[in-house]
Amino acid sequence: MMHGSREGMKEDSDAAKSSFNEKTDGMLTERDAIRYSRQISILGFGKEKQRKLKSAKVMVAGAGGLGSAAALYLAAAGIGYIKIIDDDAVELSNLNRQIFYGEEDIGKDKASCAEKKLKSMNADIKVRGIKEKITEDNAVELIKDVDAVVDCLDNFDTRYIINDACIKLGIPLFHGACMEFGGQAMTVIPEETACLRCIFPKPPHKKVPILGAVAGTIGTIQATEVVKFFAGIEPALAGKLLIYDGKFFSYELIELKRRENCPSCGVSNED
Amino acid sequence: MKIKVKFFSSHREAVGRSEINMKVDEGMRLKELMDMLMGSYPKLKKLSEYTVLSLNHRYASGEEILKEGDEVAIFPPVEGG
Repeated sequence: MMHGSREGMKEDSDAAKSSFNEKTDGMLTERDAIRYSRQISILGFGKEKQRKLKSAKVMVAGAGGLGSAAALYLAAAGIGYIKIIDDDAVELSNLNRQIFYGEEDIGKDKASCAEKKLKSMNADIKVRGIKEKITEDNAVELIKDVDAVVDCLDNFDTRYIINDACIKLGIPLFHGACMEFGGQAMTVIPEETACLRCIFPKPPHKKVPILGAVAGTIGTIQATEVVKFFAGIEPALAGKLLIYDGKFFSYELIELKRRENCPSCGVSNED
Repeated sequence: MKIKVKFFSSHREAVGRSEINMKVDEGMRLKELMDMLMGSYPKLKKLSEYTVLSLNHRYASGEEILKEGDEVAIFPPVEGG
């Protein structure tokens, strides 16, 4: 039964995507070819893969430390449409890591500041900032018109909501989280790889201190995974969890397996 | 039999070392190893609720039976953004 409703949502999502693609698909402009020349010239990349980035629509959930880094690099790379969502206002204590913002932004909505910053960085892409809290009631509606979601949130309650919506709609999720000097990242491909609930059935530590540069490290790892995904290069973190320790510069890459009884993506939920 | 245990982030701080080479009994389960480590390192016990395990670079539940030469990694899942 759930499978049927997922198909229905997928059709809505496809319709929204094709309407967007009519406006953005097509050859790269001469300006695009110059702007992105340093990545187009990467062996195996080329103009065709850059065109795929231009057609891609990505939602960045959370405009904090991870979201600042991830969204700035996605905009710089030429992702055609970025929707960035956050319901908070900028505070002085955000500025050690949230490089979207400056002192003049304190008190302003993060979503509108982030939109302005991304547009100023790259006027050739479409950007939409949304000031809204992600809930079980609006998550599917918020993500159904994008091709991928980047999890830059700061709490697992909302992460589970986004995870479940992505699984339901079959939309890839690029997870990242950080604490003090360390962090983690994994890429969820629905129906193929483990989801967040498979690996983290219980929420981890609450409110944590974070070194800004570590949030930047994890956010840019997420952006790298997103760019590779749209360029047709296999995301290295699909089905894997990267554990990064920036204090001692060590890391571990762990192979993950889907959990059969996972309440979100478990096999028993699919019929 | 000999195994290697690696610690990351707060778990590394709790133990004071990045890795330990250990001798354990044949047939020991990963969760029994964890109980043993928490007995030796009380700070690790405080983190037990926030612990993710891997065995030979694969996600592990704790039920796995350890073998000679196994490599265990112990780390905290994190939440911030």
